[in-house]
Amino acid sequence: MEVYERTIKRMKGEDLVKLAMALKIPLTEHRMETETLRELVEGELGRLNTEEGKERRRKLHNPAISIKGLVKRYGKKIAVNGLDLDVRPGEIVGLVGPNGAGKSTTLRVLTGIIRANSGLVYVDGHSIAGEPLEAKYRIGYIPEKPTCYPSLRVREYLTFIARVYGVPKHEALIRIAEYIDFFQLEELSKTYIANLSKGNLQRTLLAGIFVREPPFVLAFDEPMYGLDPRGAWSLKVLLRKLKSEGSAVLISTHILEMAEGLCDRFVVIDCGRAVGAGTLERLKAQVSGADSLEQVFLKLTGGIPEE
Amino acid sequence: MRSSTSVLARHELRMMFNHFRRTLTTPSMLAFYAVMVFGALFIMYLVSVMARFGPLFVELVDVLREYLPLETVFAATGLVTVTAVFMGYFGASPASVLEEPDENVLMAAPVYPYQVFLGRYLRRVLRKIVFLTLGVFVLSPVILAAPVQSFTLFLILVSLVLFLECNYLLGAVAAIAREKLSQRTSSRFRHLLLPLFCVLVVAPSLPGVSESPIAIAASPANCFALVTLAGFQIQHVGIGIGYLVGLLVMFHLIALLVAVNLYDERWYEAFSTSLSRAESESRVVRAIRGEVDFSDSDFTDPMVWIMLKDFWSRMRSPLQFWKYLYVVVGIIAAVYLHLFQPPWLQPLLIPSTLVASAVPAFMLLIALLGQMVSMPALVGFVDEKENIYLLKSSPFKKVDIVLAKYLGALIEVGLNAIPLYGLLLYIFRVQGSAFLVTLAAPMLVVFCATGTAAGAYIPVFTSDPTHPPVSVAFSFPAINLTMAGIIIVVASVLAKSALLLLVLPLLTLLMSGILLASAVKAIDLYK
Repeated sequence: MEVYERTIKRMKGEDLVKLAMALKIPLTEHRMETETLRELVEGELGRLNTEEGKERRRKLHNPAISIKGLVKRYGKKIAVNGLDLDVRPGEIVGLVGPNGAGKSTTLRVLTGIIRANSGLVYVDGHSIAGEPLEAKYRIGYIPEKPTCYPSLRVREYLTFIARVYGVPKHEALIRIAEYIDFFQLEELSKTYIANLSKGNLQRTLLAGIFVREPPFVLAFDEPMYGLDPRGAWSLKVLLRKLKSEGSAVLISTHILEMAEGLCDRFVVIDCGRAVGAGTLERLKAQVSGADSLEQVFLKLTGGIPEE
Repeated sequence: MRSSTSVLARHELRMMFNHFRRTLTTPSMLAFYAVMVFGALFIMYLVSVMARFGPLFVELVDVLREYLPLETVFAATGLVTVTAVFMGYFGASPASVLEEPDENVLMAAPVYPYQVFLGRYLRRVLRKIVFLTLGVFVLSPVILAAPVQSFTLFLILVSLVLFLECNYLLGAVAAIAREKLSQRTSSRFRHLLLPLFCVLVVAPSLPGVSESPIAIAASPANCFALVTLAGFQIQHVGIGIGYLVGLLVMFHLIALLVAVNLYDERWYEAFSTSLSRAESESRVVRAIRGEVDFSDSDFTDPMVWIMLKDFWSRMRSPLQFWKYLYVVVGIIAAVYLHLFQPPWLQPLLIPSTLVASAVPAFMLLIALLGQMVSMPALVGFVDEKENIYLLKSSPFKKVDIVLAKYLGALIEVGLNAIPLYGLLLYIFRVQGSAFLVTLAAPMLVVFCATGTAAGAYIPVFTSDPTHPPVSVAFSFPAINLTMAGIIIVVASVLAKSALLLLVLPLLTLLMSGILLASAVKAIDLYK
C-alpha cells in the first residue's frame, strides 16, 4: 500500500485519468485539479483494498522451485544429467558452472520452454509438465540473451505482459508506473524496443517481470547483462527486498563476485551434474583450501589453473 | 488467470500497426516505399503500353481453352499441395511462426501454444493479404488488360490466399503427425506416413479420379484450379465461383482447426532447438555436410575465405542440403525432358499467330524466374546477422567482403536457375525464340548485384541486421524489374546488330559495377 501511495503521488495527470477510468471512478467534471483526482483515486484504491482484503499476501509453496532428477538430452548429447535443486521462498540460490554446463538448459526446462526427458520440475507446487499454465503464471524468466518485440514501445510491452499475466487493469497501471520509475525508463517509455540499447532492453524485460503480482518465483539467466553499475546495484537491492518479502529467486551467473554477495546458497554444476551445493561456508568446508566462491568453483570444475 | 487468444491477437495487430506507423512517420522509409510502389507501377504501365497484353490474354485464353485439359490443371495444383506437404513434413513449419523474442516472453508465459500460433497466424494472413494487394496494385496496368471482372479477380485472389494457406496448414499437420509418430516409434517405416499423406491430399486431383464431381469438391487444389479457370473464362464445370470459394473457406477452417488442435509445446522445443542449432541430424545429412573443417583450405585470399565460410555455414543449415539435391535432380529432369519429350509432360506449343504477343510474356517469365531464384543474393548479408559488424571490423577490404558475397550468391543463384530455365525452355515453346533464354545470364549477373547491394544496405537502415526492413526487401524486385526492362529493351533494339555482343556485356558490367560500388559504400554507413 505504501508503494502504491508513493507511485500515485508521482503519477502525472494523464496517467491518473487512465487509472481513475480503470477504477471506474465517474469523472463528471470537465476540468479537475490533479490533487483532487489523486485523492479520488487513493480513496477508491483504499476502499478496494479494504473490500477485497488486499492486505492478505499470497504465500509461495515450499519449495517454490523443485527440480528432481532432471535429465535433458539434445540428440545424443546430455545437457543436464540428473540434477536436483530446491529454492525455498525467501531465498536466492545461485546456479553457477562453466560455459555449456547446462545452466541455461535447466532454466529453459524450468520455465517450460523445452521439455525434460525425465525428472520432475515444480514451480510453486505446480508441475511444469502437468500444469504448465499454472506453473508459468508464477514464474518470471530473464533469458541469457535478452530479446523482445522490436515493433512495440516500452510501455506497450509492459501493458501487454500485464494483460497476458491477467493483472487487473488498475494494478497494472500502478505497477507499470512504479517499475518504469524504478528502472529509470520514464524517458524511454514511448521508444520502440528496436531502438533500445542492451542495458535498456534488459531493464524493460525486468520491468515486465515485476508488473505481475508478488511474491515472485524468478529464474534469471545473467540478470546483470548489459546493466550499468547503477542499474545492477538497483536490481540487487530489489532482489534483496523481494527475498525479504518471500519471493524465491534462482540466478544463473558467471559473475561470482555478485553471486557471492547476493545468494544464500549455491549449486555448482559441471557437465550437467551438480558437483557441489550449499551455503558458501558449507562449500568452503567441503572443498579444502578454498577461500572464496571463485576458488570453490574452479576446484569443483576442473581445478585451479596454474599461473 | 488464463489469457485469452484475443489479447495475443491484439498484440500482433498492435505490432503490425506500429510497423505501419513507423513507416509513415519515417520520411526516408515513406519515400522509399512510394518510389518503389509507384516506380514499379509506372514500369508496369509502360510494359502494358509496349506489349499490348489485351490481345495476348484473349488469344491465350482461347489456346488454353483448346489445349489445356482440366485434369492437367488439377494435377498441377495437386502437385503444389503435395510439395507443400513434403516441405512441411521435413521442415518445422508449425514452429516457423515463432520468433526469437517469443522464447523469453510468450513461451514462458501462461498461454497455450495454440494461442500463440493463432495470434501469429492472424498476422501471417494479414501480411499476405497486404502484400498481395500491393502486388495487384503494382501489376494493375497489366491485369486490367485481362478479360476478367474486378469482383471475379478479387475472388481469384481470395481463393489463392486460401489455397496457399491450406497448403501451409497441411504441411504443418504433416510435420505434427511426423513428430507424434516419432514419439511412438523409431522404426524407419514411420516415414511411410509421408507417401500416405501425399496420396491422400493428391488423390482427388489425379486424372481419372478428378472427373468425379465429389472429387472436384473434395480438394482445395481442385477448387482453386476451378476458380481460376472459371474466373479467366477458360473452363467452367457448372459450379459457381462463389460456391467454390465457400468450399475453400471450409477447407481452410478445417485445416486451421486441425493444426490448432494439434499444436503443442513440442513446437516450442523445435523452435528453441533450431535457435541453439543443437538438433540431431541424420547420418546421411551429416555425411553430406561432412562436418568439414574448412580451416584446412589452402586458399589464402580473404575473399575466398569469406566465400568458404558462407558456403559451409549454409551447408550446415538443414534446408541447404535439399536445395542442392533439388539442383542435381532438377538438372537431370530438365535434360531428360529435352532429350525424350515424355508423353506425360508435353511442351506447350505456342501457335505461330501468337508469337508476336508471346515473346514479351516469355521475356517477362525469364525476368520473373530470375528474380525468384536470386533471393540468396539478398540474404548473403542478412545471414551474417550480428557478425556483419565483426566482418566489417576485420582486416578485410570492403571490396573483398562485397565481392565474396556477390560471387558466392552468383554461384548459388546460377545453380538454382539452371533447372528452372531448362524447364521453362521445355514447357514454353515460342517458335524461334529459344535463344532469348540466354538473356537470363545478364539478368542473373545484375540481379545478384542488386541483392548484394540491397543486403549491404540493411544495417544502414536498421540496427537489427537480422531482419531486413520491408522497404529494402521490396526494393529488390523493383530494381530488378527495372534492370530487366533495360536489358530487354537494349536486346530488342540491337537484336539484329552485332553491336549487341559488345553493348550487352558492357551494360551488364556497368549496372553490376554501380550496384556493387554502392554496396561497398553502404558498409561505410553502418549504424
